[in-house]
Amino acid sequence: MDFSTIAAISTPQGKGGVALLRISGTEAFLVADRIFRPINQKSIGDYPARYQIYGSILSFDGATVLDDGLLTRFPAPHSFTGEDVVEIACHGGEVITAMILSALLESGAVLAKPGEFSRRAFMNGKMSLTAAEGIADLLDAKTEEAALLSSKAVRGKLSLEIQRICQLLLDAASSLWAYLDYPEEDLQSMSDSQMLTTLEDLLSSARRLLDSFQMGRAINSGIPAVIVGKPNVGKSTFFNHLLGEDRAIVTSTPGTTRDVIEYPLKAGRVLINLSDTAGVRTEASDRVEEIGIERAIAALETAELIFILFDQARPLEKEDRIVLEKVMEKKESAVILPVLTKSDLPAVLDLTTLPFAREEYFVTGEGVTDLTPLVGKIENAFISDEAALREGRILTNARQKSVLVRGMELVQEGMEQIRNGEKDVASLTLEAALAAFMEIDGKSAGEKILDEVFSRFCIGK
Amino acid sequence: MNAIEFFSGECQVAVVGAGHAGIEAALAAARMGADTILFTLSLESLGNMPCNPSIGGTGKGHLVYEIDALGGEMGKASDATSLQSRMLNLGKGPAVHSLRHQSDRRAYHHYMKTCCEETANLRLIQAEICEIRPIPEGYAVVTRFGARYHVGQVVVSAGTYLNSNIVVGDVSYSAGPDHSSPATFLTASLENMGIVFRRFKTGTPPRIHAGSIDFSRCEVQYGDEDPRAFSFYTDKTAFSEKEQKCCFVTYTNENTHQIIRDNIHRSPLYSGAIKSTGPRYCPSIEDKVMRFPDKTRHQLFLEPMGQNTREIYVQGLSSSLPEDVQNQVIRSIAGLENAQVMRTAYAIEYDCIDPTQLKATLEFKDHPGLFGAGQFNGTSGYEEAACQGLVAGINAALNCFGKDPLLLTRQSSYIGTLIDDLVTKGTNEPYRMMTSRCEYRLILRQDNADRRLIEEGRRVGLIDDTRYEKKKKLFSLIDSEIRRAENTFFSPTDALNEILKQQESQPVTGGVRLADLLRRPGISYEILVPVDENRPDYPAEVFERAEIEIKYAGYIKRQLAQAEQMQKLENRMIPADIDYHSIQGLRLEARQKLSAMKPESIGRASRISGVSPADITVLMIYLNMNER
Repeated sequence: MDFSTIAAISTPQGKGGVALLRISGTEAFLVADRIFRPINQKSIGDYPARYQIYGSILSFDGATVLDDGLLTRFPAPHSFTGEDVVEIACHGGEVITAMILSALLESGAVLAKPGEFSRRAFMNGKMSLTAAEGIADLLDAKTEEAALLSSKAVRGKLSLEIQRICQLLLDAASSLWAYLDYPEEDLQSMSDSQMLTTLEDLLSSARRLLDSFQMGRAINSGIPAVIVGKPNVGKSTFFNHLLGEDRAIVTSTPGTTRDVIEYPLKAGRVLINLSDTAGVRTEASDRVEEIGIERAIAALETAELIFILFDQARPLEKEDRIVLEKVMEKKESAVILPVLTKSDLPAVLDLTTLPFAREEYFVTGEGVTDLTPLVGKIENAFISDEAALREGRILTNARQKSVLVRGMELVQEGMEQIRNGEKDVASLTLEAALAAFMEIDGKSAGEKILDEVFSRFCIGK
Repeated sequence: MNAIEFFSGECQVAVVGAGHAGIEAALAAARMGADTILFTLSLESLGNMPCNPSIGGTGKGHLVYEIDALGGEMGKASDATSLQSRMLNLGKGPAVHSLRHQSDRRAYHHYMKTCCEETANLRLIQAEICEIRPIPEGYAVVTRFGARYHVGQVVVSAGTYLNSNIVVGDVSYSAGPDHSSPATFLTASLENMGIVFRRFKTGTPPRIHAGSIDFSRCEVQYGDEDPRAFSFYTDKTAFSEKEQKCCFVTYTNENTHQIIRDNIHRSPLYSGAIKSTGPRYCPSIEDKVMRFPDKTRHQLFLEPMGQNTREIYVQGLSSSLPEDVQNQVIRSIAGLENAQVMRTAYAIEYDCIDPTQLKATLEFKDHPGLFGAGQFNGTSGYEEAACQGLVAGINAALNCFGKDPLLLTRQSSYIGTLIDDLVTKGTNEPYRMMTSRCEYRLILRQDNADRRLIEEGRRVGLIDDTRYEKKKKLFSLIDSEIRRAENTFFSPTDALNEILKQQESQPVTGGVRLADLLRRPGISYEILVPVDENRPDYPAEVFERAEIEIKYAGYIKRQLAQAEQMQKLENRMIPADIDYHSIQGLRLEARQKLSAMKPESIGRASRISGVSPADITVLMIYLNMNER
């Protein structure tokens, strides 16, 4: 880590109307002063804080005017990073912004590392860890819903929910602590059963938050999905239908899609990362295809959304059963969506032999273009809690999830210890649970967590 | 100070104040072989209990056991003068079991006075110390009459006597506890050396004549049937045969609370006459009533002050209300309608230091050879005082002999936790020990205090060979019993399953390990007597301790791992000459706190309030870079 004054271009590379450069650190004003001449020839320090100063941006030697633009000073601690910050808005062009940046670097700033501005903001107590992670997600957001959700995290909705859980835990734990340290006083502290009820309440809030993880990911980073079915059931046709273009080679010879490639696609508010796999066959005809099948099985292992295809124009075959068996093993960890293909042909398949209710099927075939019913099914499966989504009570990354799970396990352990009369141990277990819940918000986050969080930032933010 | 100064002698260790801290400091130093003088304002007040007539209680019981393990006197004194013995928190887990004795206050004083008088290398002198100043050979300690002693090490354990003021209603006057003379010069003298003081407040309830109390209107509280002693030295049989006195419980009522509310304007706490900080955990009755208006009654304990006195201490009724209001309050309470008050409750304000000026040895960071201990350091309670006195006295003596200091870590003891809290976090109110302050409480139990600390006690020279060998023998019996329990299998007999059934525990179908049975809730050695046929004939203590170790083995292992992890941070030393203001990235608050506290290690730095985990990261990176 380096605590010199840093600078970077905060807007994306490429051509744009306006570009923004940001400088942060104890020498930010000094650095900016060297390359910026306000229109009336005063120095930037003569203007009030957070005032937009119009002027010329100069090269380091002062010989050349590079551009004209607006400069704003944000004195510490009232800035994004909590340090002295300068923002310079100039014309958006790859070359001109790069020239201004090098002028800044020549004036004494160093190039900011990825995520360094946000890291400093966190270090200086300007934002919580969930807020910082929210910013990372906001930058990475691929869909509008994802952007909205991240922006809620930035505004601290998730922090609030975690604080509420911590408060419940504090209620129970503090009552236990008081009971142990003041055994003879009538403290009106909670009885064991009240304590257990409070902890149970806490757990159900935490569980809701945990359930929200899948929803959070469905919106933010996407759900790994796969299409399976016996050879020639119509996987590639269905795939192309979903993607709306001819991406895979479609032939009537089984086993022509061989490589697994992931395609992100939007189903309503849900983001899906669809794996394009080779046909699942019992006996692969050649080596290449064998690799394709292995990949398909691997994709199935990690999938959380499985489209299982049945040809309704044919009776249930041995290969259907093999695929079905494989898929049903995953029913705890993945959403399984049955699809009937070739609806343009006469129906032969006996649906009663399959473990799905009639309304669960999405029916497709030649001439079927409307995907709305399918989108509805996917949204139903993944957007489980509209209220949580509206309020931003959603976990969006794996670190938050694993810490939450640890906290929940500790609470459960503590409850068991209370039931066994091991109050001394319970008091410590609940203390550790509290530490875990607080860690979700980075209150006791170690260097490792920070590195992971901040490594996800793009430069300049 | 008008007296003409004269040279009156020398010693290696001088202890100023003979309360619970001073006694332990002086006894430890003298027993370790240092030529020691213990100064006290009044020999009548030596080892006095100006507040509750009891030793031990939650967290405090642990301290007394640890004092005994290190070779201190408090446990022995308490055993010798106890009136009642109760083990608190039974049934909540062994880590929070806490022993408390009701004590005979005068007998305790006599015990301690005789003990000091009979200790070699120790001189007991009645004198007010008015000045302490550095001299080349250490410190000059000067009495009110001008006697000047040249000493190597000084332990200041002045208790609540420094510029103390007693407050009752609108009456306020200069006086020490129990209306004794205060020490009015020492604060200024220490301030001249640059030591920073602040003002704390505490209080004590009234004492009532037992003959005027209607005990039939109160609940009785007996001592335990199996009374426990604190000290290893105490004859357990004789102790358990001692007759125990009762305590009683009564309650305030709405009428009591109305009287207080009607007169609250006459309370110095509410009128603003008292501005100093009192303890949150020991509020006066007027505080309780005003802060918790929903509570319809508050519990009061009636405790005997001694064997040969009829004075009764009313725990829970501490107050600084005017005497006429106090009397109304007392007489509104069930059982106390005709109470004859013998001592009026009062609040007392006194000077104490900010303990963050001290090192973990309790020596002032800026004044080598000068130590602080007890309420002078901002704590509350006899036990908290005594353990600090012991550590300060030991370290003063070790300084004399040029030996390594005694540094007790948080992982080692309640004493270590208390000292670490004081010197790294400081305190904004009189500091009281509590079990919840100890994050390592599963391994810091009363029952294993000897095992945790005996090596330290022996190293400093307070544990003699006889005691050491006896303890070693006991430890080996415990270990061999634990091994036996791990290696003994019971067959699934009807007798065993009948026992398990009675305890609502799952019956067994195959052979089962004794240790595994003991790990089940509700199953103990005692219950297994009929089936445990080959049980060796060990003292009861062995089985008691083995059972705790077996039942808690999993938790203990986990805590030991945590303790070890933390120890790594404790071992990560910070150079004394570090300039926090030059470290980029440390927040301003952290820079200021770290510069002021000068923590010795990363572990200690991480516990300073206002220093965040992020600051610690920055600090560690800085240290890493500079080491390279």
